[in-house]
Amino acid sequence: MSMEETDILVVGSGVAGSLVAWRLAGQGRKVTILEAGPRLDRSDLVERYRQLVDKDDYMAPYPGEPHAPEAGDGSDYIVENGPDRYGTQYIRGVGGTTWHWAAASWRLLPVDFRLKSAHGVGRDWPIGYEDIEPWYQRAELAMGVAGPDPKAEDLGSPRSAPYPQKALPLSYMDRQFAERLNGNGFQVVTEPVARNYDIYDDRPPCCGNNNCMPICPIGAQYAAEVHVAKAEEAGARLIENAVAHEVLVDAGSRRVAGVRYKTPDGQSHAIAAKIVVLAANGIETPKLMLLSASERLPGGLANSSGMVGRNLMDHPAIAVSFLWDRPVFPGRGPQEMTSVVNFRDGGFRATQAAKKLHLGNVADYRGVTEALLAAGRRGPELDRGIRDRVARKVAISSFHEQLPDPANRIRPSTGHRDAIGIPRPEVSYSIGSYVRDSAAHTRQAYDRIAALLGGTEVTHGEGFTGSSHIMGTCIMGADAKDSVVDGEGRSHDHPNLYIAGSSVFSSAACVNPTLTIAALALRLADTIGRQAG
Amino acid sequence: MTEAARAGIDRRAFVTGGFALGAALFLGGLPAARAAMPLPPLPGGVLDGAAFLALSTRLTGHDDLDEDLGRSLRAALTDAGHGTGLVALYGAVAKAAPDDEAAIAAAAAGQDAAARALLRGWYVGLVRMPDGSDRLVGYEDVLMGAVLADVIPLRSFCGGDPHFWAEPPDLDDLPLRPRG
Repeated sequence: MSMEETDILVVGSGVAGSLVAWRLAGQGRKVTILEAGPRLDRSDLVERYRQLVDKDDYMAPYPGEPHAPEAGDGSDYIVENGPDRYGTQYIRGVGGTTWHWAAASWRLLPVDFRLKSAHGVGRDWPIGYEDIEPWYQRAELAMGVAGPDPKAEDLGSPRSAPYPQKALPLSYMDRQFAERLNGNGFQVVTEPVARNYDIYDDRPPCCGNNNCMPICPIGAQYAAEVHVAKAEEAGARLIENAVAHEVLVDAGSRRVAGVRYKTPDGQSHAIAAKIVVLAANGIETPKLMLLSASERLPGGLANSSGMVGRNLMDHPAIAVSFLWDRPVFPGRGPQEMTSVVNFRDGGFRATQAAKKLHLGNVADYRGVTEALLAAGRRGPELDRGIRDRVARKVAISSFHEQLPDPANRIRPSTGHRDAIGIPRPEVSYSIGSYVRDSAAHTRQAYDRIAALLGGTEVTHGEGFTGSSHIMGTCIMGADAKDSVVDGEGRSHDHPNLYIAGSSVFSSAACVNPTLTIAALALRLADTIGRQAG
Repeated sequence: MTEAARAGIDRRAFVTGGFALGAALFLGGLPAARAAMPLPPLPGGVLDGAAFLALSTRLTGHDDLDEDLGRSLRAALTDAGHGTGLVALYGAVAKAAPDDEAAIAAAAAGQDAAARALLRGWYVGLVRMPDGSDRLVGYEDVLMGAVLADVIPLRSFCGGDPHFWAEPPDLDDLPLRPRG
């Protein structure tokens, strides 16, 4: 077979793939990135947002392409088999899903790596917090994370150096929230965020557009397009609109040999590689691996354990809204600035999920106005009502830790294909009592918080929503019999196949996964760099 | 409304006693000649752009409505099947004394579907079409943002100098919840 050849082939250009490509291209390696979707333009996305009917649909500015459909509320791309709805979102385009995120950049707690040992549930990671800490620091530098002074606020994750940027000042609302809750049964801390306090890495400081999701209009918030560009400047080649559909395995060994991909016209192409890094997210990566089944590998690529696609996790969320007893002006500043963290760990984790609660800093203009119009308010009375209620209506949401369960899984659909003939992902998913029991306690906590803030019209959301934190489907472990990759992110089965992204997480913890994705990706790149060099 | 115009709104004018809005935006504060001016008969029974804006001013209480938004809204309301209802609404409101809010409200209630659609268009920027979908007619100039322009930046537009959000908005007194 005559085909183009590269040293390192990275599938996916989100935060994991772009950081791996950046580091290795910077070391002089010949790096090629395959991205299923197109390049995206920030100003186009902002304009699309402003033209949206539903401005709360964070996927709507990202319409997707027929050859790379996206997951989201208005999409049937993911086939949901239940019993519960997984309900995830992701962007298939250059830069991936960091185009829309809240920039929350949490480290895991040391105990999160030892969940089984500490609490008797779930799994332990094959690495500890101390193994990853130096790469947490490097990831924070790369992304420009702004966080609190560790001497002033202890976030529970030991640090070898301060955050690269000072924490942005809390909004008036977030400050009131922290002052009212701290000391009253809750611990509210400043959330570390990949959002600029000042000019950093040639990106501007945040000026409070309050549009972190679905698109930061000015690029003050980190997005992986930053490291795609840096990787290309360092010599990496990006092939956009290239949908990987098979990983090739060498005929005479267990080494992977390259990747086949399709272009929008449905034509198949192949590229050979000495090393393959799969970084296409927690659904697309295992789907690709399972699609790569062959006579030699009937269970799919790297799947001697049978764990590829299994242990699908998320952070199931429940929400509450209420009217604070005074105007606090949500919507001034970034969309998320504080979190309640005193439920991140404790003895309860033996039976109930850990969780993080976070206050949203978003003004509900439309919800308030539509309700007042429906109630017949008119003229000055309507305007007074809008001002009063929008200035007081607040919402809190939550992430609950889910345990790895092999029954929760993603598979290539046997009955549903996309426009270029590639099977769509099919998800079987159950939330389970570990999360449900914790969520019952979360509702009680919401009521206590509302009471502390003089809240009225307390409205609990109906059921769970997904948080789009796709984890566990290429789970990391020390034992090749029940895990897919080792502690370095390398396949147990194929010595030159690596997996980057949250699909390798052994535990979900209860914080946003992006910083851990970035740290693991940089660590993986250094591992490859040492071995390849 | 442009950002410059939004920023140019006199913040102090919004707060005249607790949470009261600046009177300048509302009927009571309209220039006397305009506020007192009755709606003229529709020429040929056609609700043109000027008549639509005049009707909208009477129903919303805002006399600084954006003409471009008005054009888009009038077209969308017509497409949504409210053309006849709007003409009838205009006729009913025209019979009410310009400063008689109760009479204007009663007139609007008589053409409830058209009145509600018109107000939703101006405030939220959306018009419900016959197929059940919403059509966007505006964002930057809709009234739900305008009435909060001194308090909360409209999403996606820069809110001010970095870190401005650390302080509450610059109001004489923090707005208070209406009592009673």
